[in-house]
Amino acid sequence: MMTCAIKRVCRNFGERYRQMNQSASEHLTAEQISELLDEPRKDKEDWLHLETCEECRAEFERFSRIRMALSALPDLDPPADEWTAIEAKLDSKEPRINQSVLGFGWHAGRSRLIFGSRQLAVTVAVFVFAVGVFAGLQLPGPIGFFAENTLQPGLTAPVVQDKIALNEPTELESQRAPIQQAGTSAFEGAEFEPVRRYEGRSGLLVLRVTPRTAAAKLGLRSGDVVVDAGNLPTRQVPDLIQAINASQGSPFSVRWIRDGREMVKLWPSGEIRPKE
Amino acid sequence: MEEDNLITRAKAGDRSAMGELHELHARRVYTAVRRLVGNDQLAEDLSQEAWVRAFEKLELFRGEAAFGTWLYRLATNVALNHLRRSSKRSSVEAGANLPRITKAQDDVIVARHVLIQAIDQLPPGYRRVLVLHDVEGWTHQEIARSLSCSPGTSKSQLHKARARMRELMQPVSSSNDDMRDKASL
Ligand SMILES: [Zn+2]
Repeated sequence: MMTCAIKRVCRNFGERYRQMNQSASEHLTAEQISELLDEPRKDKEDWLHLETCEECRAEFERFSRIRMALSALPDLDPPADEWTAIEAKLDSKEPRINQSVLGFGWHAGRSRLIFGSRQLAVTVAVFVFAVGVFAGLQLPGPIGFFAENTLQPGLTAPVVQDKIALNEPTELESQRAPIQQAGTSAFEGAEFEPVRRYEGRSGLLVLRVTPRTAAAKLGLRSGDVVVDAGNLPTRQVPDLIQAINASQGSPFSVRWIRDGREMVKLWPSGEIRPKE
Repeated sequence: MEEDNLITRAKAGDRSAMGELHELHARRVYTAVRRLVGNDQLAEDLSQEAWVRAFEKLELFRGEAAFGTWLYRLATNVALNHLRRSSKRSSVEAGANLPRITKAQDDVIVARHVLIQAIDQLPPGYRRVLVLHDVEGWTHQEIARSLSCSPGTSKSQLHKARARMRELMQPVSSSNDDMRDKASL
């Protein structure tokens, strides 16, 4: 009897385990969902599953929201005394600085001079390398020539284009304001925040939509990213106002991204439809 | 332009010009470093280090790129190099033993502090790809070049990182809606 009970428990457990495994293999993995986020139709089967499975769809939307929130993180203030600390470090390094600057200046100047002539470049590179070793030996501490050289910005660093201008964050903060201009309609009642390069595009993330306002009527929901209004890209809140002004009262299109899909609507009338 | 003027003066060792340059770009430098390294103390040190290096090498800045871009690259390199060195020192993934986020708000807009906490808890290898791609907007090509890996590696690391993020952000008190059976894996 005892063994019988144990067997039954085991069987039940095995059954449950099988079921659990089965349902897990049917759904998309987190990584698959993440892939679909960047390349929506990359894997047709996965995409089809996403369209038919409510659970995975909900998960996809969560991923999408995280992705958007990441691209909209605000810049941070360094500690207030940062400059004082930097100055102190500069003071303590003064004698060393001159030595290293000499070495690098020479190195950089040389490599620029020979740019374009490959053969010569190799020869001089070997020479520069040798001088580098020498300079490295001359420098005190573990931070010699090589450590410094790997940091040389132009060499390894990627090109980051359309990076938000450096003093803009404060401007961004100030933009995080609801549009409440009388008579602007269309976007009235929504709160926006600029996002950079979301799915390769800049746009305005909808933070909140007040029910029964123009923005709600337009069909905007929080989490949408408005990328275009009146065929003009919308990167900053003033772009929206400009689009409205440019329309001079005639209907204009508004385009936004929702969960990886582009939606278009004509304001003040027209259907919401995902763009194929 | 006024910034050019500041740079010229800073090259000559003018401290007040250096201070003004710092004021102009301090946020961007600190933010990039902070997001990459995952904690305040380290970010403070490395941000300062980036600035000191920038002034030491200002001589090399010839204005091919905007000063801000040059500085930004230098600062991210300082942070990435630190991550590279520290990952060699200990193979134990930082963040592995950190406490989980106790409460996450699975609202329409992801709560920012939860998001930031989750980024900081990621293992450094995941964090750098996620921050570079999703926060800083780099392409996989750019990331691959900077980390000396293939764009394919950058992509797969990103998907793993996002999956980990999602896990970290999972509300502890999961509602029925949240009953995806992750435990069964
Ligand atoms: Zn599913």
